[in-house]
Amino acid sequence: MPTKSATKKVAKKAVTKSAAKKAAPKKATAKSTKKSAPGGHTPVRVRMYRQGLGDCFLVTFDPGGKEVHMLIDCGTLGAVTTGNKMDEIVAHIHKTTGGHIHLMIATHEHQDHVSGFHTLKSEFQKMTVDHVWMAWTENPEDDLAKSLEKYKGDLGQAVGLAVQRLAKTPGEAAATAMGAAMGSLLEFAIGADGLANLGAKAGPAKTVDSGMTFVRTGQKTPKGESVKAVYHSPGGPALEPNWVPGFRFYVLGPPRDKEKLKDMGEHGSPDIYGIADSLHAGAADSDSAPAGMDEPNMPFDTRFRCKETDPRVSAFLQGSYQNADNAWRRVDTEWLYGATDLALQLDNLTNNTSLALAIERISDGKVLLFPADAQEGHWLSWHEPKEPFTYVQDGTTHTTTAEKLLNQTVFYKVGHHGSHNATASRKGLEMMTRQNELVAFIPVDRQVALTRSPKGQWKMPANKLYRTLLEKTQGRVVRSDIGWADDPANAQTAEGKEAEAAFKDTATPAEWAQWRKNQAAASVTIDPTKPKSLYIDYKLA
Amino acid sequence: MPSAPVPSQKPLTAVATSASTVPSDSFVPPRPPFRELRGYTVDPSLETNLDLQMVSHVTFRVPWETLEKGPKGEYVEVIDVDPPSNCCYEPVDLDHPRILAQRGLPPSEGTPQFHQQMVYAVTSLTIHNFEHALGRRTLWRHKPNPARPADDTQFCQRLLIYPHALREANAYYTPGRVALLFGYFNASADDPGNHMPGSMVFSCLSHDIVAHETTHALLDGMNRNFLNPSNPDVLAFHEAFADIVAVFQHFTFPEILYHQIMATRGQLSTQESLLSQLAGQFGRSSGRRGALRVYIGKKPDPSAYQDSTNTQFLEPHNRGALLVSAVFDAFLRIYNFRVADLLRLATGGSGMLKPGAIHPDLAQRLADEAAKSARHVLTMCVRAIDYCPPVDITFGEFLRAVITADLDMVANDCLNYRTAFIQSFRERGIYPRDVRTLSVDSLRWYGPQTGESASPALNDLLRKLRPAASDTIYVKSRKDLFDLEVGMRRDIHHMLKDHFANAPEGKADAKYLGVDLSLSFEVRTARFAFRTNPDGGTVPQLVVGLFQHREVPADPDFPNGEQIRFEGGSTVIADLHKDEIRYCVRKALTSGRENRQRSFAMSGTEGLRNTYFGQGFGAGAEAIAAVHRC
Repeated sequence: MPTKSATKKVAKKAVTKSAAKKAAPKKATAKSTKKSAPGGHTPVRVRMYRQGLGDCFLVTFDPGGKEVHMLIDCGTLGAVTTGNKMDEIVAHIHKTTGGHIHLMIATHEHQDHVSGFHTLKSEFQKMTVDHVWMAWTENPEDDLAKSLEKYKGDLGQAVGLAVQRLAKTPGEAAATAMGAAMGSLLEFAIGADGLANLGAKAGPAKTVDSGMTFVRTGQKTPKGESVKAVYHSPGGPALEPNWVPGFRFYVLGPPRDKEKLKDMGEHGSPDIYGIADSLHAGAADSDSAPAGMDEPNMPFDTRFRCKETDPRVSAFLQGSYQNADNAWRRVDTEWLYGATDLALQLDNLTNNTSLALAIERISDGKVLLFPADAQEGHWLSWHEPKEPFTYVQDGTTHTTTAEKLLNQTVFYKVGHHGSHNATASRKGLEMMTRQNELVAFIPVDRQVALTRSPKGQWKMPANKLYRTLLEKTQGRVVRSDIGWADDPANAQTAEGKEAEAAFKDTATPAEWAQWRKNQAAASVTIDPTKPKSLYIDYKLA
Repeated sequence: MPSAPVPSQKPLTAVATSASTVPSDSFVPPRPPFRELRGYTVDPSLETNLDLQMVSHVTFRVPWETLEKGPKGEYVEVIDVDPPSNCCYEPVDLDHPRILAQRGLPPSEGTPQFHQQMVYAVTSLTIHNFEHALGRRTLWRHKPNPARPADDTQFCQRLLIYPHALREANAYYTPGRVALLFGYFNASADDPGNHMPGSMVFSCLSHDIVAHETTHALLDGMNRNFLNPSNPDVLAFHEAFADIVAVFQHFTFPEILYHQIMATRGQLSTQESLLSQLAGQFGRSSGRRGALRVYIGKKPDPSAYQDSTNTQFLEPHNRGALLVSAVFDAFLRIYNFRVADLLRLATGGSGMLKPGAIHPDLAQRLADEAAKSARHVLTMCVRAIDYCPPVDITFGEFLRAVITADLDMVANDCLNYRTAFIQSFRERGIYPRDVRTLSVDSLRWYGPQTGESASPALNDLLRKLRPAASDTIYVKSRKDLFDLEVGMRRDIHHMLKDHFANAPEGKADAKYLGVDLSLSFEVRTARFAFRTNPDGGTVPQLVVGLFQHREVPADPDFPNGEQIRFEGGSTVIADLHKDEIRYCVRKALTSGRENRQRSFAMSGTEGLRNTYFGQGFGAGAEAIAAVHRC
């Protein structure tokens, strides 16, 4: 099996690659370095919108000059801390870009990254777009992508059925909590409305999918032509589109490897595809008679299967299972616990389909890193690309590595809202060594994260990572909810204090004092008069 | 071995006891010593393999006891509800004449009643083997008291067994319910092994899985602190120990042992040997290559165990496999030592077998020796449990426990069992942190023979416990035994507390017992063991587990962040004949251990599950279930 699929993958990849080249023709660097700002470098501005727990970044190349706008994601699970509304954000994007986005990117199919493309579709339809980039995993023509899509669909359906089933069996506190937690996870994939409308037969609704589809197929150029999405695979030559002079785009992932995409790290679990099937069969139509179920998926034939009220078993069960003394030992919902694994797998897999980009400014080699929500396995794959990363300089081809790109990183969009497993340590953060200028932006709303099920559990950002980020950036950590990372003692509201309590011991007052100086000197703009402003800017001059 | 207390003291059957309606002089048949029940030797997959078909079935001999439908006996109760498929199955009546007359229902994957019989038979057998080695009746974990979580004085008579509770490739013991849950699933379509792709596989039909899970429950009943994963070895030890019991239980089936001796020409170390493979069906069908855990034929790498950065070896199953392979290797050494003379006799002195099949008589003798070796190794391992520290066990400490327990039982190790264990462990890099040399003597736990002893005053207090010891011998039911132990724990606690506070030697004795007097302490276990040594004498022992804990921050950088429970304690073994504390296995609350436990606790907080679910919920989040999920 491995050899067969490997050849297939290679062939497929070649096709995708050539398609990418056609759509985004490369140009020699000589031309791109021609026009540059006073310091000899083209400036870039990264604008992080403050729409809550979710990503929405507007990267503007050469702001104030010949502006080129790139929108990376537009989604949220809600904003409690800032209270900003998505329509305000999208209106602001329209205003900033003059209604024309050069490059639109949807990194992966999750509510917190694409919800705006669905709910504010009509607003986006008033704007024009030149280019759309997506990961190869979103390519409807790609065989591997298709099989992943099917797998994700099956997982989602199984989890949806489990959530429904748990909702129908109230009483046990643990079971209810389990159902709510799985629901919160599933919401990433199908959105709140999808979760509310879990159909008995139809399976999960497709609201997130519709946001993705709109990005993929609904964009129009100023001339009114449809924009054909370009699907990127990792490794190989860096992209140097002639419409963003002076910059190279390295595609770091997602890896073209099903195992790596599914990898959940050392504490993860292997394939449980069979369980998804079983869960599906078992949960289907649970209120009807057992005989109505998918017969081959039943463990025994009909003559053995009894309802609890069947005289063959009722007396026995009353004396044992249903006996009040045994209430603490019942197992009615225990089997659904397996579905939490499926929910985690689904979340992990979708996160791992993130289009991860390193944007290099050619003139000084500085890198802006946008890994979306890539999980650890995804990060590790950057260091073993099937095709090495290359770029063309003065007519010759050079190779580079993920390590070099990480070394050069000056701006890091923190992955997956600061969760622990979305920033690799040894092969990630430890390699970002430019401590004197590194800035990290975390798109997160901690108060929203804490209200998800189970309450108070979501670790976004994670303590340990937060501390390491502060060290690596010497305090230059910006959060979309509160602005500069701050001493938790300074939290303004009671809710804020509660949300920040976990970080109480992150650093000493002396460290905070030093970090605040670094923050003041950093090239980050936060409107001090408006704690709930719409955005925060980083500028690479 | 001594006659282990008979599991059930109840009368034979309802019919036999209704003596009032039967003339007193009428014939009463003798009580059957065993109930014979047919089952799968390993799992159903052997049935369709021509080479193995003839040994695919075995007759389990389990102690006779009065049964109700379920089956429900003294120790276990099978309840066959199947929530995933929204139905339940009729309970089997193993006393039905038709079933009695044919040694149980014939093995069948398609009959749930046979499944009930299979789980009953294997759990009963495992319990029996345990009691045989321990020399006492086993008790399950206490029944939880939701109103007072610390209350552990409520007796839980039976372990519940749900043969069809899950729809996944999984089975586990849940301490919160004192129950075993077994799953079933469709065989993997990619690599179904001997199965039809997509066909139904039942974990409750695998002897090894059932024995494995039962062992978890038995261990937890003996010492519930074993389950707190405070270092990488703790859960691995649980897995390994459960596997050891499952593996060696196979050797008690003469049919398959003989067959495998013939097939491997006495070379049990061959990798193809069925006996060395656990959970064949389970492993293959869930899509893994080969059996789930195969132990033999792997060249040990001593550095793997010691390397704390080797993530592969920190995973409980892989790490546990190392311990299983060490014990299995010790078994092979013992077996080879025991059969060397037989092979020389059979080969005219050369010891080199001619090619081809071996003589059936030789095979029979070899099988006898293998069975004996296996029984001894299993007994050594089970007995060692009493000699393990109450918390935070490591493999090295298990080795010390095995050696110490064996020294107490067998003065003259003429067959070199202890040496075999030490050598096998050493080759895998498993040794305790704190011994100077790796010898039988230095591995023995601390006690008077190492110059450490309790004060005479404390030793004198032991005399007070003699009446309780004799009560234990005559105790009528397991409930009475449980209550007796609860009372004894209370008495010992009072006694020690008073001694520590008031006796002049109190402080020194507390230090000797590893008790930190600034914290309160509990007596978690107190039980008597009566063991017979090979010389025929009885050794009455008191085994006491002391326990303390304090909350410490999981991450020293975040003193107000998440707290973990740092546990310590000691196992005290006293000889009631001599009124002397013979050993004290200490796990004091030292800072070194605290740091180790912290760093281990931190290493588990990085997964996606933790990001979203934190501590988790339901029995599935209990340590044992989480390890088993695959």
